[in-house]
Amino acid sequence: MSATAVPRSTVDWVGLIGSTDHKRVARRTALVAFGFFLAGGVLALLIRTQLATPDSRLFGADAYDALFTMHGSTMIYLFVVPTAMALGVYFVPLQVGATEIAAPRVSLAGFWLYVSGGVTMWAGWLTVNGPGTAGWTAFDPLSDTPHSPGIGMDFWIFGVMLATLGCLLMALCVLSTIIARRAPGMTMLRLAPFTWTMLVTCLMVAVAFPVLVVTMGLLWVQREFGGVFSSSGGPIGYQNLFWFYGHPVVYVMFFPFVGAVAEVISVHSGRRLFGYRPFAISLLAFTALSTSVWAHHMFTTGQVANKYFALTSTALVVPAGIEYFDMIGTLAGGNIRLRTPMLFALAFLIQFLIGGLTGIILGSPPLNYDLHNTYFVVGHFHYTLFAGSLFGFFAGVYHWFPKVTGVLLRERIGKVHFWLMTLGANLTFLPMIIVGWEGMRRRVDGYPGSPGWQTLNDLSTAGAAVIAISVLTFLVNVALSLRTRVPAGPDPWEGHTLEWATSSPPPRRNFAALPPIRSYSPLLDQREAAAPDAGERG
Amino acid sequence: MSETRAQFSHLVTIYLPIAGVVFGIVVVALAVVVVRFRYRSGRSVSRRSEANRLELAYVLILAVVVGVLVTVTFRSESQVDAVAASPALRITAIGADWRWRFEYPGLGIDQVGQGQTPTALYVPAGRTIEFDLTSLDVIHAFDVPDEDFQRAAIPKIVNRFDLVFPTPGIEPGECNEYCGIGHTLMRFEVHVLSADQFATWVSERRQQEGGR
Repeated sequence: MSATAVPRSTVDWVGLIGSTDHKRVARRTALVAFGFFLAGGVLALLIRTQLATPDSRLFGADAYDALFTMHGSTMIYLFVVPTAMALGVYFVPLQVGATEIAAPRVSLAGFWLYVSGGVTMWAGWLTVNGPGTAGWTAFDPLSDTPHSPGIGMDFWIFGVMLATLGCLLMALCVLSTIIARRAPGMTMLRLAPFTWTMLVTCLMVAVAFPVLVVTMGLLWVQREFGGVFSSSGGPIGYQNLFWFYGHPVVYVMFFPFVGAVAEVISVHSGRRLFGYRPFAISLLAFTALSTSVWAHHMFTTGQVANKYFALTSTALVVPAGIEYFDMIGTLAGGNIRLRTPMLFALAFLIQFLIGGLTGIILGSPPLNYDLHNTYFVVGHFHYTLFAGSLFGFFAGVYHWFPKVTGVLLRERIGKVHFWLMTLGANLTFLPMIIVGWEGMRRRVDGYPGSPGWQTLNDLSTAGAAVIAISVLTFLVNVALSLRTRVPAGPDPWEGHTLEWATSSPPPRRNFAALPPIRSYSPLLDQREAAAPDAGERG
Repeated sequence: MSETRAQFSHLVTIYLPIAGVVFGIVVVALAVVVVRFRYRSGRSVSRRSEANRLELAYVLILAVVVGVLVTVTFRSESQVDAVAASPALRITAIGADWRWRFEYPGLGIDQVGQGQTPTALYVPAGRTIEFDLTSLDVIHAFDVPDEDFQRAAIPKIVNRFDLVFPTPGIEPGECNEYCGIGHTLMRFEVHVLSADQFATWVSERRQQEGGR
């Protein structure tokens, strides 16, 4: 390993604004999204500071409402979804052996729509009444003009609309790439595991995101002119439309990271993904179910067919169980290297399970009647999104950073980052599950000052601080690794899929030459062919 | 009409142990696999990449678990959602920014909290009470955590449900659908009285209403 100085280059403004190289579009999307992650994280720290004491006067109700609205909106619309898209835009063309993403200018337009959406939403802080305060779901009539006056709420609506439209365009480019730009020999059942997860992700985006874009348009018309959601079924109609987007998006924010974890687990245990076909079938089952579970968010409205949605939601146990089976089956029989990406992947499996099991509990209406809108729900979805998806994201970051930048991240700092983040996540979100079980409501700026509740909230606040330190540790790792560079070479981990068959970072047209593609692990095929007797066959 | 609290506890005794066992199995399986197959230089890696029969058997087990959970949930939900033909008492509950109002149409009583005082809801213990719930502005939710029950109060829609408060005492009630800056303070208080106490309260309140 040798260390060399950073080469300094002048800024290429034209390329920065207008390059249609999928790798540059993806990098910029990921960087902007990570910036929004940091901003949303600061809002989370402010929320936790308010809740450190039962009756804090740090923020008034309106300021606090803005904090949790913008925290949730930023994390979902501006961080996790765009990050999922960035991963797809970067790696799907590489994994299918394409020289270029399909419709590159559309993907560039998607990036700029997303950026303008983020700027628009956050510009709400500059308006007289502040940003949106109706929660990330903006239920009507609360989001209507009489109850949420001010242009900041309109900024929020247009921000969501633009960002979602941008992500939709990027997803359509990824989907088209999978359908139309596969290299010779790359059949659908030879797609890399991550590409499979992006395929189903983009299918869900194509079905669900247009609904949100239109719903936001309708909400704006309602605010300006009324008459859209004003009838007796109007508010429930809004919720049906919103959650028809809102539940598929949960899986949009999940599957790309499952894909990253599947890649990490198979590569870092030196073994191809176990149960590839059941894995693909389970993804398709998830996708089908994703459009038929939305009203489990509405059990307590008394206006939906609870039993139907309880059935479809509980049925998710089956495809989720298949995924766990395949992940553990891949680890079994492998040669597991506990590098940082593998640690994040293993923590993902355990922590997401907590999110999944609490989700099954919430999927039972009589249990939901008690737990709906409590911190149990907040703990549940932070276990899926933060302790799950974000850990999958970091597994992917440590795995793919060498491919994207050409240099390895520091392993020792990486492990410090991992353990701090694991401690912080569980310290923050486990007390939420408990205090929610005991009945603490979400979206409140204070709570009854019983000693138990204050202790649990203080643990959460302390955990949030640990998470902040762990994120800083990661940033230090990135800065150090980019400054004193340890070159990664084309394939530092003995990868299985085509992105490792080219230089790091890949050239403008991605590949000089492609290996033969005869399975979903073409590079592993080559190594196994070179050492035919090294492995035991089952 | 059975009690919401009992139904909740019943389901918890089924769901929580299953969740605990599943969590335990996965964590133990992961730990065993990671220790057993930890990196060793020169270890030969298995090339087996499918066990579809085993996986199918496993899927059938999962499907049975889903079947059990859905069955107990459906049974319980049918009881919780059932509305009695002749309840002991009818109450109309109305949420509006940011206060509750409880009307007893058969008795001519209206309950509205004044100033900082949360509205008091008086009910007889152990009797089936029918609620007609609605809102005058945004969506609120009528939530009594001690009874493990909440229901949304939606403008222009009346949600009807039955509740039984089994034991006398005072239980906090709250709005549990975010409804703007007054949401945190939009509370009420349930006074569960014995049958005699409730009859006394009703006659006193009727005298007050009549005297106005």
